[in-house]
Amino acid sequence: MTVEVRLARTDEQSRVASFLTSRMAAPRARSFDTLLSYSWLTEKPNLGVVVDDDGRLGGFLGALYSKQIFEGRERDVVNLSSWFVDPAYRKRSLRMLGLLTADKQRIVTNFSPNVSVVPIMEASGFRRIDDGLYLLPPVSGWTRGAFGAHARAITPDDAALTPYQQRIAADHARYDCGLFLLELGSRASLVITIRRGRTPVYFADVIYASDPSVLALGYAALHRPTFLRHRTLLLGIAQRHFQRARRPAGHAFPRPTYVRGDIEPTTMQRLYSELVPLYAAR
Amino acid sequence: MSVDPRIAKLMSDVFGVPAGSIHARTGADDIESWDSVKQLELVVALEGAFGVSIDPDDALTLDSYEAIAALLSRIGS
Repeated sequence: MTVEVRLARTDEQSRVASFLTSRMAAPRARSFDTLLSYSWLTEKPNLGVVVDDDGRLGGFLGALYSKQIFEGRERDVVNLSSWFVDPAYRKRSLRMLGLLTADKQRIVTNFSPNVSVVPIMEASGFRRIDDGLYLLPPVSGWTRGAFGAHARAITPDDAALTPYQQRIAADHARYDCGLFLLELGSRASLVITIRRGRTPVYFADVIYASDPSVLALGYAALHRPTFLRHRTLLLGIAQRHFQRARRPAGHAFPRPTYVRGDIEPTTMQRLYSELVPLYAAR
Repeated sequence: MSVDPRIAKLMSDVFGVPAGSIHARTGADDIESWDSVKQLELVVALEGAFGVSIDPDDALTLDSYEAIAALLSRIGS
């Protein structure tokens, strides 16, 4: 018996998708195939890591690669997703992770760790953000200074966007994402949303705000355009975007996030994450 | 290659196997109870017993007696 932990080749997509579909729940029937087909990189380095037992898959850890700018510098980012290992191979789980964290220049994220993954994240150099999610109804925000804010749906080539913002807007416009420009006085923020949730409760999840402080002050202006775009009355915004004194009333649903790398973890947002192909594939 | 009894004892305690069954070539495949969580428990135990700090990247690769002994030797315990 030869058991090997190795990088998953892109030509293995269908068998990896079949492996995941047989073992994990997903929002839609073809979700894993859609996930592995994410469109923002034409040439993916790999699909992640597999445990290969003489040609039979025993485990998979997904890797969604992207290039993002932090503190003015373009960085390679890999987002971990869809980690499942058959019980017989779980002694190889850490080796799997090690293959994706070996490059210390790369930023590694995990936005959806399950309870069994959390101790591994904690012990392997990831930093945790306790990133609660507010689900805000339409009445929320109007008493908090949002009257001056204005939001409009935009296209990726909108002249108000920087070249980098145009690129990320174009990458997400291939999916069923909302693109908005939220303006407040002389300031503006690109806001990207997706529709998430399960019947009957859906919400427009803000996965990116180029200026989170504009979002925190002016989010009430987003209710109408996000309703028109996603047909939901609930707007989901990360708790960390709000300064403590301006946090909305209500419950923030826990949503731990893990980041590994030399950036301030709270600057990481959910761009290019598994949420996009899983929930917003057309 | 002789086995460091301190490492064997820690592996015995964490994985619930007799210390005498640990030999220089013992690896994850040889111990039924070895999984990722147990491996991390072993890392914590090694740090406590040897007074060292193990780099997270190294922790992910400690899946055999040989790897553990080599790392402890390298980091000077």
